[in-house]
Amino acid sequence: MPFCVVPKPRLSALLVCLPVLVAGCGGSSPEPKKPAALLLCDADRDGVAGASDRALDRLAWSDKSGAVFLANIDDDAQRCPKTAATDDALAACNDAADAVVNGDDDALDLAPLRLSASDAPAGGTVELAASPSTAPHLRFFVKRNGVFGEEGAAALSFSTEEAGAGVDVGVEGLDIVRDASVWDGFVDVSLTLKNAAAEVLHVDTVRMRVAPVFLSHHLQHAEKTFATKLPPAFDDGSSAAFCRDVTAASSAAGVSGGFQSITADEQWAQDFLDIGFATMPIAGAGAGATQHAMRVYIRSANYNIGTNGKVNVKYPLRVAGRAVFSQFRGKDVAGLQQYALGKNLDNDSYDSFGNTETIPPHTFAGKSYPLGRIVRGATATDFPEPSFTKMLESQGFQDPVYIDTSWLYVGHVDETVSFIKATGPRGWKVLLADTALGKKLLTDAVAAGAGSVAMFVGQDWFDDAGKAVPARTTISAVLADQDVMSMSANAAIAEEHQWEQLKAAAGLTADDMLRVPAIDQPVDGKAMAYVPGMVNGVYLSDTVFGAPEPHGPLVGGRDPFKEMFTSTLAAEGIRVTWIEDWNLYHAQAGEVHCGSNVQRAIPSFKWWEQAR
Amino acid sequence: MMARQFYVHVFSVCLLASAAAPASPVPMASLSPAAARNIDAFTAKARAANPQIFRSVSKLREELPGLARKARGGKVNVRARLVALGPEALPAVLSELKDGAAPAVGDLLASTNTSWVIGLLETAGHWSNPIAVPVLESVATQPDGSAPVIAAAIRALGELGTMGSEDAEKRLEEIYGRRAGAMPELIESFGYCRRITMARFLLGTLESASNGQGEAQRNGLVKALGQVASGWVWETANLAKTGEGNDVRRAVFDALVQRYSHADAAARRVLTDALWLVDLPDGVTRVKAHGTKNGTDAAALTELASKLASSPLRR
Repeated sequence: MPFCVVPKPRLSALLVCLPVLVAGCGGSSPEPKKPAALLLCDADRDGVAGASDRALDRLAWSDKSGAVFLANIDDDAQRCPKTAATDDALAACNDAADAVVNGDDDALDLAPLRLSASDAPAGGTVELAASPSTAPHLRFFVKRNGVFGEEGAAALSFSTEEAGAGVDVGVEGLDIVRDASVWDGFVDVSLTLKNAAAEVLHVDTVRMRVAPVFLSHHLQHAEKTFATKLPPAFDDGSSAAFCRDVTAASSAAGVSGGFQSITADEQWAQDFLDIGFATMPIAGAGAGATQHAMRVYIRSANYNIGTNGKVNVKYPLRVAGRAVFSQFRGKDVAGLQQYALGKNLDNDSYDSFGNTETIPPHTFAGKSYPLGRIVRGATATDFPEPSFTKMLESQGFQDPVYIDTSWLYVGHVDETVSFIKATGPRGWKVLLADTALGKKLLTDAVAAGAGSVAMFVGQDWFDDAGKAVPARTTISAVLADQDVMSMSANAAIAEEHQWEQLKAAAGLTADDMLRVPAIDQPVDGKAMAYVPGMVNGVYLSDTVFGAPEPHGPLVGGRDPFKEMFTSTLAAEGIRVTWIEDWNLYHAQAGEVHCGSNVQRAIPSFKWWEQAR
Repeated sequence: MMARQFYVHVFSVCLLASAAAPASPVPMASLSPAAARNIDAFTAKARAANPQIFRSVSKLREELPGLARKARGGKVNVRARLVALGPEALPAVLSELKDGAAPAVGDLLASTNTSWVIGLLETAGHWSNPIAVPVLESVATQPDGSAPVIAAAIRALGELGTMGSEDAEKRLEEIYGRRAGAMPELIESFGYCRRITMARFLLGTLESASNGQGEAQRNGLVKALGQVASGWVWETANLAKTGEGNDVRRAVFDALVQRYSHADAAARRVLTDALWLVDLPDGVTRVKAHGTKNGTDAAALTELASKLASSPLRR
């Protein structure tokens, strides 16, 4: 296909298979050289468009060959504003938003093409363009004397003389795939050779694919941890203490980049942003380097609802999510948002990223998920914003799994499910909240004569009226609480159904799951952690898990909740670091994981070698 | 202590406080004049004795926008905050429900408005005072009410019934007749009245529902029976003292097992969940005995026994 001659309409019958006809002539005179356009892309994925790509079928994108380009949505020169007149305007600024290459770093985000023309007639042209339907998704930059010094364009034209010496071009993707039914991420780029009369002499076409955005999973090494640090005027010390605890835990876990606080008007750092990545092959980046990576910070699709009950017109998205653009977008870091107006506001909580986690890598039913699968809470009536869901699904590699979180008051998957590196052939296990196990710990304690032992000592449920209400209770009182027992029983069954959904989606077995004791309480007829949810912690390294301090009973000087969780993880070589989160998180319907975030190392995995 | 820990949107609170007081947060068209007078007298007396508690409740309402913006997912645990004020807050809660300056639609997320009303309703049922019954009944029978709000009123009536209010229990049976047919999603809520009489009512209704009633209603009744016979709840100290637990759990268990072998796969899932909730200690043995006595589908009962043996409620 790349070398197929495109016929002029009036000569089509003769020229469709011109090479065959020529070969069949068998005359004594030497075969005349045909004008030809040659478009080379990085089909062999070595980071270079060169001779080694020529022999490949450059129009057939597969796990074996086919060029990749990046959506150039980072801000390498850090020229984008930190604020803007609207949310859309804030997100619109990136390196693909202008037609220039913003420095050497930006040039690295361009995928290589090399075009040439041979035996081309004088006065002719070669024209580079994508097919009309895909042209809006990319831009070309010509490289002269090693520099991308000119404005880019959706199409480029060169004289045959210029093209004859060969021209290097960079390809910039303008956006990621948002909806695969509209654009699947592939572009067909053609080089058309014309004579002076503008008649088409030859066309060479290659296929390229924009890099998908991947979300990270827990087995990727943690490079940096985050939490919101509330301004001192609004912090009774809980926020500062939480940040100190996460910092210490990160240090203990060997998180190389340490801890970084986020400036935001709320403490739910897990919910308003998530961190993904996109990669493409690169050449000459040093020993072992095989890819050029761009981090992608993603803003949640939560709405910003004003005191009038309406979604803010200029700033329709959750305010704290602006951090994606104001604090993180920069060199090799993209900012991304996706939303549509009109969703059911009652479902807004499902858009928080605590409701978007990633099952670690696995293979199931003949399909490999080397970078894992996204897992989100959703049912037919309770689900995240559809256009955002479509964007995630459209990436095509981490096919989302949906489990039922509608029985949870907040409705987030992180309230009951987490993942850790573990022993065994799979290499990781599911952590699953288990209220039956929590109840057993309490009934065992009563059986041991410890029913009067206090729980939640020194903690308060709330004090919004300036009045602290002690949370202190006893083991027997918890077991006597009809509301707590009723909801915990319901939760035990709902947790089982979540496990069944995970098992069915990923082919898991009982050996792949570890139960974490929990106790739930009812709120609006739904479940919320009563004992701080230990499963809802932050996985900091393969040896350290930062869990919320449960403030459980001290039976014989030991908290059975902590003891069980500690021993469970210790069997997998993981140490639990306890983080205080009661006031700022637990009492506000969240835990440590909800209040933190982790930037993880980008794997060197070559997604383009997957048959998708 | 925590007053400064929240990064409160001060302006939104001020705006709300200055807004004109709208009507009651939830319609109460069916509240009789006599019941209304009774509640008015109850709340007036309480207000005179303890005005501070009324201010505490109204203050919570005013603070909801800020609280919602701080709570995860905008979810405020209203019930816990109201319950923590103690039983003396009941008059203020009833006053808010009947005449309160509700968070107006538009001032808050719709879900926060709903949380406020649900929190009031659940609290009204929490303190075992039957004076709340007419208010709860009125909400439960409002013609155009939303399912979550009506369900909360039903659960609150159930809680009163569980604590011994025969009036609440009787009203629930009447409400069932008016509501369950059109809104089957409410039926499970009737199971929060943990009394043997309610269990019998639901069992009888399920029996009659088998004759031509819809699948949604049957499933709702099965779920309600699971709730009314919830083993963990009957094992709590106060309910254990009633001595009704074993009878309720066994009656419900046997009736649900009876249905299991004739049910399709979807119905079996609902039955299994309910039987897990009942959590009868000798459940597996009872299922096996049931098969022997009744000659029912042995394979189905073997399947059920296996599921009960691996109940998620038992660790």
